[in-house]
Amino acid sequence: MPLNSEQMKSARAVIAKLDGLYGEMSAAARKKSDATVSKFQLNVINGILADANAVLGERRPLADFVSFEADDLPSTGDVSMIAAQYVETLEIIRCENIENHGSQRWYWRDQDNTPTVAPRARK
Amino acid sequence: MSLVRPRLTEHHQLALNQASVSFAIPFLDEDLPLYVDPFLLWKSPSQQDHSLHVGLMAAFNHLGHIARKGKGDQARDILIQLSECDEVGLGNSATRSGKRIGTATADTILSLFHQIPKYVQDGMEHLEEVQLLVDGISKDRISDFTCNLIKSFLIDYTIEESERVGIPLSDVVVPAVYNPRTRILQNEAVKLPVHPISGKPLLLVPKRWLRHAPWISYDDYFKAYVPKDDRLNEVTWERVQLLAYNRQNYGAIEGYVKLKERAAADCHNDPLFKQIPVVSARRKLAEIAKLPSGKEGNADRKYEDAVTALLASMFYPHLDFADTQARTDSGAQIRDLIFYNNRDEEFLKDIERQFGSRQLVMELKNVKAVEREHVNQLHRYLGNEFGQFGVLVTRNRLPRAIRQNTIDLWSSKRTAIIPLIDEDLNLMVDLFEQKQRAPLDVLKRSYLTFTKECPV
Repeated sequence: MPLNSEQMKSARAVIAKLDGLYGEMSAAARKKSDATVSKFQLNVINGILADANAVLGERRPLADFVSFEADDLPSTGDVSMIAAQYVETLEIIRCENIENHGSQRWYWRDQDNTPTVAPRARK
Repeated sequence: MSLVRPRLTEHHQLALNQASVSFAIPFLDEDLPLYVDPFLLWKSPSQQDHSLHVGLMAAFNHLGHIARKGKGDQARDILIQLSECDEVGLGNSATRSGKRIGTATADTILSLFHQIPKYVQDGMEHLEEVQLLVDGISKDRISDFTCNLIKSFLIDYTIEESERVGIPLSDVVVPAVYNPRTRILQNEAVKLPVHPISGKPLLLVPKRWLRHAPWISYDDYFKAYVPKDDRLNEVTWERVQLLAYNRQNYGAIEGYVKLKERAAADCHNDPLFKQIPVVSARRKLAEIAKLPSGKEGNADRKYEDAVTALLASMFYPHLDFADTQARTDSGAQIRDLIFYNNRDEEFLKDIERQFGSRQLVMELKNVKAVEREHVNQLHRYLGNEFGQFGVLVTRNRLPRAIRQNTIDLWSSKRTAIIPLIDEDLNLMVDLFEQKQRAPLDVLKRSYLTFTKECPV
């Protein structure tokens, strides 16, 4: 899925937010996976997921899932699991939109050739 | 079926929770087990409250004064009329009406103003002292004397609060209102809320004046102040003997009252309902988790007690706890929790609109697996004030067939039977501890999960 420069800019922003979210939530879930997420946190999380959905379009990781319902009282484990799906899907999109110019350095295929990191090694 | 333990606000279909109003919401069939403590008026930083105490004591001392001046009969009549205040509905009566004191007790009270030099010279400072001097006078009388002597204020307060929250007022005559100018009791025609059946006037009382026992009380005096016998290490006085001693030795009372005045900062009003702390909630939860399902070793009774204590706190202030109720259905003993539906949350308003539930009923079932008969028992009990919404508090998830049974009940009778299981109680306590979401949201989740499964 080739992205244009503007979409790549959005993708970079959302990848950074999702990495942060996943890090926080997986740490919280390791501590107590059934602890509920507060309404404030849920608003922030749904905001990040909305940005991610806008970038991913039809390639959303889960066809039936768009955002969390506050009334379902989602737990840190639920959020961590969903965030992991989005992180992985966005990594695939990123890999499709970066190149390495024949060296160890990697760049986005945008107008400015914005530097990025190498594709993450898959297990 | 009528409301369980009806309150004035439920009768008028007002969605008010106790925490959101400054007055104690009166029950219609029984008294609130709290009393007006005049010491809370005395210690109040509010000039209004303190002035009421000054007026109250001036009025009471005036009775002693006129009794000394030869108008004992008049003083006695007023005192007897002041000794019961049914309009406020405080105390222990199950019928909202009490008895007045007799002439002998009234005479004993008035005799204090002859007998005790301090009262002759300066008057009484605290009405509660009467408990320490006269047999047959206790916290309920002190509360009633107080309410009657400040009744004029209570009338104004009741009108103001009723208009604010929308309690309807009716024309009524309030008996025995003390007039501080003429110093007599007179009937007053005013607009007040009335009891729906008896038509008698009702007075609202500020929560900030209520305590379970007065700060200056006979029990406290007897337990903490009266010297113990050296040999037996216990108080050896008989009550009547001690009261007679106090009348002859006012210094003992004076010392005790000064002590209580010095400790006034520790005197607070008692809340009408107090949530259990997080530690206790966790303890109750652990207690529930350890209990086996079934009846062995009274496990069912212990389960019901622990769940009652837990849920009453978890749903506060959105659902005020009304009562527990035991009933028998098809030979089975069933225990329910009844909550007032305060309708302060959209979810609760929905329950009232959709199911007509002015009160919520929760049936407690300490069984391993809920059976069809359990669901039917709850279904049979619903209707009228409870509407068609019931909660089944039990240990484990409903078996698939029973779950389907509840959905079928919805389809055929539009009845919602929502399960709350141990897992839900656990989550409620988590939310209670985190304080970021209301434990009531767990009930809401259970309800929404149920509705998603139901056919449209």
